[in-house]
Amino acid sequence: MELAVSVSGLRKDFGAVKAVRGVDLEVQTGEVLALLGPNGAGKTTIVEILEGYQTASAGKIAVLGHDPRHDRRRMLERVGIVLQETAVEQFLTVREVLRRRASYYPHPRDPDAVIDLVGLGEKSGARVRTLSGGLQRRLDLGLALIGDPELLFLDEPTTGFDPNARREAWDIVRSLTGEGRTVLLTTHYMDEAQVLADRVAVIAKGVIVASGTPDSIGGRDTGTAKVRFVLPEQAASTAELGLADTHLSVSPIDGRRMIEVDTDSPTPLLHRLTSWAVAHDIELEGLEVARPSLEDVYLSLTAEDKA
Amino acid sequence: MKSLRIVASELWYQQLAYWRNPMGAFFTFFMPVMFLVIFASLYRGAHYDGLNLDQYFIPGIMTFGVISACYTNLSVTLTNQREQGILKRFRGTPLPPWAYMVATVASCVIRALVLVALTLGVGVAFYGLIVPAHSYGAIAVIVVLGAATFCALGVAITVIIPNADAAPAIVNGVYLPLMFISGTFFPLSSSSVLAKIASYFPIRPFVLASYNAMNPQVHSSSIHAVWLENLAIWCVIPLVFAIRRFSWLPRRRS
Ligand SMILES: Nc1ncnc2c1ncn2[C@@H]1O[C@H](COP(=O)(O)OP(=O)(O)OP(=O)(O)O)[C@@H](O)[C@H]1O
Ligand SMILES: [Mg+2]
Repeated sequence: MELAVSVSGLRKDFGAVKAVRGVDLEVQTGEVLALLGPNGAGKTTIVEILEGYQTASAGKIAVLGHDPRHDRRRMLERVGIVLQETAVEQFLTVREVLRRRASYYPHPRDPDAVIDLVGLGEKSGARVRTLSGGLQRRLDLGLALIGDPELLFLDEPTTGFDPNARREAWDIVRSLTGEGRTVLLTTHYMDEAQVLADRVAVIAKGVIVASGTPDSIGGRDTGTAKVRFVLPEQAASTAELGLADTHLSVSPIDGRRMIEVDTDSPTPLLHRLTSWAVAHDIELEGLEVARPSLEDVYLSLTAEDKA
Repeated sequence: MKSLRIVASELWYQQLAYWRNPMGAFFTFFMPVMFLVIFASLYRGAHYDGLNLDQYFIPGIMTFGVISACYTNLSVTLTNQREQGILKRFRGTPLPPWAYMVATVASCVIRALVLVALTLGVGVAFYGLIVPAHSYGAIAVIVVLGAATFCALGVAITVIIPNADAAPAIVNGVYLPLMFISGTFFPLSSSSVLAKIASYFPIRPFVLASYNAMNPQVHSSSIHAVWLENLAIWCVIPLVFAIRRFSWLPRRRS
């Protein structure tokens, strides 16, 4: 498939600050890529270089086949941008702002359809200054969509959204990718990345420390699983359950002992455990098997970086 | 043709936004008229150069209006828009940057023209100001040149304004002292030291050219070429500077 974005060897220095230190990145057409990373990791810097706002210190960049610095105008006809900070003219109405923006593009979407799409139908005649922060952010998303872009850059697009609005925004993004459009987004919400992204890339201190699908990144699917349960009163010790040899931790909860076992092969372990329970006709309370969540993986990836 | 349509549409939206911000509109239009009324009552019966003093300071108020609309308003607006990230967002669309700038400047020039009409109209209607018919052409040239100069200065000064809070202080700090030593509101002998200093800057030539253009006793050919040259220089140099250094992105707070 064709690449919507291709970056290699990207570097950006702000004086002594090395904000981006050698990043390679590819986004396929029709794909949603989420950039995750702590504050100051370099996400916005990377995105703004792709948008042509900033010049890279080094590296090769192509956005829809354009050089974002030297072919910016033509690139901008094909991309939509939501910047990290919202800023819309305060004294115009929602509809006016969208109509004005629509006039800049060769093939804009219908402003009223976009107003409905981002859920501002009731506010279309309201001045921007009267909208709440979250509503202004929705307008921001609408403005990015008005030019009918092939590629969307969304820098923390749902920050400030209520949970319903966030889900609506996810639906919008998904409907766009259904039409073959490409999305590059940054976010601090793991659920957002999990739900929306085909691939995630975790950035720390200007380098990509891991990338992959949300389900497999950092060995999520194959790595250590946790098996948890409350130690039944009938069992004198964990050895009786055939667990003596494995990594386990015991924490007291409500006067009982919660067992947590880290294991690379949860299947035989569960088999031993449940066989014992069935044989003794015991219901294992609180039994659960958990793979690390995206957040667990993210935290360990970005913590390593600090060490 | 297409460019013209883009600029016209931008101009429309900018005017729309401007007139919906009552405070901004109020200050731009009310201040010069208020000054006119105050000075007229202060100077009642005073004379200068064999003429009613009104004949001197009302053209001065007119220049004040043009400078407020072009220099003060433009620089503060652009700085605010830059720091709020509004300019940055426009740069993220296919709208050509020059189209945005032309529309913004044109917006200010329209305001300046309204102010010229307003101050001269009030002057003629209520204070016996004489605007001889033979001076219309000269007034038009001077107003256009003055507007161009002070728009160029307005855009250029944003380069040295670090943030929105500093904008009014820097803009007025440069402008107000010069305005007074340029004899905008009262006659100032051209042989005085202050007037000599002021003659190197663009306000005094603008004031003198406006006064002479309307002076019913002299013909408009008494507008010295050196005044127009001064305005032209103060237009071109800031313009070149602005084109090279104008920033569309917020300054990093560091
Ligand atoms: N214009 C600039 N001048 C100097 N330093 C900068 C500039 N822009 C960014 N930086 C620095 O570069 C680093 C990366 O910043 P960036 O804004 O890209 O981070 P981010 O990952 O987007 O963070 P956040 O999650 O907080 O938005 C930071 O250390 C920041 O201070
Ligand atoms: Mg950021």
